[in-house]
Amino acid sequence: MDQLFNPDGIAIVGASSNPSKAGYVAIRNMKEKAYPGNVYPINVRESEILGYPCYASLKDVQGNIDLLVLIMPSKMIYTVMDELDQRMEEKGDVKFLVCAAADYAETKTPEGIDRQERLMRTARRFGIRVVGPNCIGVIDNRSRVDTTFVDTGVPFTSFGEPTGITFLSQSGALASAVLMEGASRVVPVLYNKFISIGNMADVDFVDLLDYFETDESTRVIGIYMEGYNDGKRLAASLRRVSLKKPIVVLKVGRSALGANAANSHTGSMAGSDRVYDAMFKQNGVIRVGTINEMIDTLQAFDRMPLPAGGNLFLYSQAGGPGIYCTDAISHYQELTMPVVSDDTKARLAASQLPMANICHPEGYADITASASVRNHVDGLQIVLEEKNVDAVIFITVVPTFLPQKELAEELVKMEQAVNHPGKPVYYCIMAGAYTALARGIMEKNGLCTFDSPERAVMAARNMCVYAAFRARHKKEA
Amino acid sequence: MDQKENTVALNELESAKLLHSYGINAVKSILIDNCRKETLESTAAELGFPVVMKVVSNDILHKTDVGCVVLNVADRDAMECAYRVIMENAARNVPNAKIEGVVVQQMLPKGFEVLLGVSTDPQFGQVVMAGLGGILVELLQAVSMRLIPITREDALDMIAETPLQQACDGLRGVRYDREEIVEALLNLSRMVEANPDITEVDINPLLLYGDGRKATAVDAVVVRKTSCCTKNG
Repeated sequence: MDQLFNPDGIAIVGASSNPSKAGYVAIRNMKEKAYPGNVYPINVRESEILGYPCYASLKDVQGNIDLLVLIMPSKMIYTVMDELDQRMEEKGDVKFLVCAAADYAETKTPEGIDRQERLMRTARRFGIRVVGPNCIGVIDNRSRVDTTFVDTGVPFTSFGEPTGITFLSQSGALASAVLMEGASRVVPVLYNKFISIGNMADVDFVDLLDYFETDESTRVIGIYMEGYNDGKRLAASLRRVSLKKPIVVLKVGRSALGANAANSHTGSMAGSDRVYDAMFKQNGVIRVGTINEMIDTLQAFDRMPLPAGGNLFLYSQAGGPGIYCTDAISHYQELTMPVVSDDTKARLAASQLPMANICHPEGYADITASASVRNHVDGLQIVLEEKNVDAVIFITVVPTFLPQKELAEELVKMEQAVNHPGKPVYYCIMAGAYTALARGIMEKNGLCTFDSPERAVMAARNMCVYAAFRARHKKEA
Repeated sequence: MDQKENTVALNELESAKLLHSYGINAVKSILIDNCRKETLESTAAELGFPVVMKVVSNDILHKTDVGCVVLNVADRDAMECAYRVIMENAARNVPNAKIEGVVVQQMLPKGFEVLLGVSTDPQFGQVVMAGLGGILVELLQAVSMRLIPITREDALDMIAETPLQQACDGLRGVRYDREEIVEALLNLSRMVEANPDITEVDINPLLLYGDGRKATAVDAVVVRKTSCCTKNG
């Protein structure tokens, strides 16, 4: 799979000079990310696209092509495969093929099935591995490959550093949504590897899970799944990988109607959703319900250490949000607001204003809206030093008289001093767009911020469930 | 392909015997095929009173509906009477049914009802299930499941996902033994792992007492695949 994510030479059949066409955006993405290898647009009419010289046919490309991307209309597959046959007989260089175009076997029409069969005939003959059809392709932000035709609307330069988040999607559109949603965050998320597999005519979930298992730049794996035909094989692969790295799944088809829709979408057979659910739980796979929960959870796994247990201290700057968050924590049996030592209580009280509420109820502090930056940071530090605390949710609403830039910078400084290894802090910085400055500083420095308590709690709960799975199966891994 | 066509349900005695051989305690039952004095006496000596009596026939699915179940049989005379009533009703209401006899079963006192089961998913194979027993199980959707084989931790998780958790933590002053459910689940998983031809098991209820009396499976049905040759046999 290395050559799929780090190919020497990429040819694009269906390349276009029309900025509204997929065959243009793919080339523009590659240009913007400064893919260092050769890009060969295949287009009869144009002489160049975005500075890359065009070729009339695959036969004309002299240089090496590791990866071939097909974005042309599906009915042209017969001509293109004939040309590929010829190229493979002469040069034998293509190792991977991404068929982005749709209208293949997923339509379940004889024509669609025949087109996919034609594609696979050449692939099988020459041992070319196929991604798709009916997908958006592949991204590797370290090797700077991007065959997708997704426009996130966010300039590439404004993204953060490449993360350890690898995402794998059965649906191209859902994958695009995850890309775009990630790009719209306070600090845009730059995924590590990103792949949409569509019809899975060849490369499928298990192939990729097996690859990501040992891929060093992958710290956490996100999956959007509709269904997979070989349940036992999938379960075995998920188990092996999740003993090493967290896997977060958005599996659709919970409802009978949804399962029906999944079946006709990528042509996959969706098994009983309740059995999938059981299989995920049994194998330490974290199942999420929404795209936002997916990205929140992936970021938390990517950035923070796993907690030692479910003792979650709630450290709030305001009463209302604190109570709101307490309800959210109480909802999950995995999470407990812990009793801390008298010494911690005394030190915490000494670090705060007299009216602060210290540990009523246990595992909870409300430092009040008058709390200064120092109060915020010092108290958090004291809570993190308590041995009975595994993780902290920090909530602040940032009133106008609290300098948010200074708050963010002091929190970053405190985190970087690392007096509490192994303890995640979920920073819930409420008050919407107003706090974008503080969140931006914190996110750029690797802290995990959230805009609401329930999202912070959800991420905390997911981390905790996975940590418990790992602890339980320590010997197996 | 209709799965039902290729499966057969074991009768109560066979089901109970299989469960028992894998360490799941099932209600004591004896099959009789006559109501002679010595048959009834030895049965009563073994089981005591009261007992439940039901027809045993693969051709009769809903035994109560055709008058082939008698509850609360209190003594030997009532036993004889029940035997005759069951046989007469079977002959009259399901004339073509092949009758193997009548099963006499200890009638157990009321307890906390747990559902245990096995089902087969076309993709993932056999799964074990646990939940609240009785007839509300469908309504409450309070069943958790796991793929086999399960571990002790899986079994504990299954309990934690259902209202069984509260019952094991203590319910109106009675605390039901979590270990009994865990053991039964582990045994069930072991049983179906060793018998890949078992497609379905329905134990409803497994009665728990919370006072030292042993948990006991009451109504249990095991469904197995038949081999191709006996498909319609």
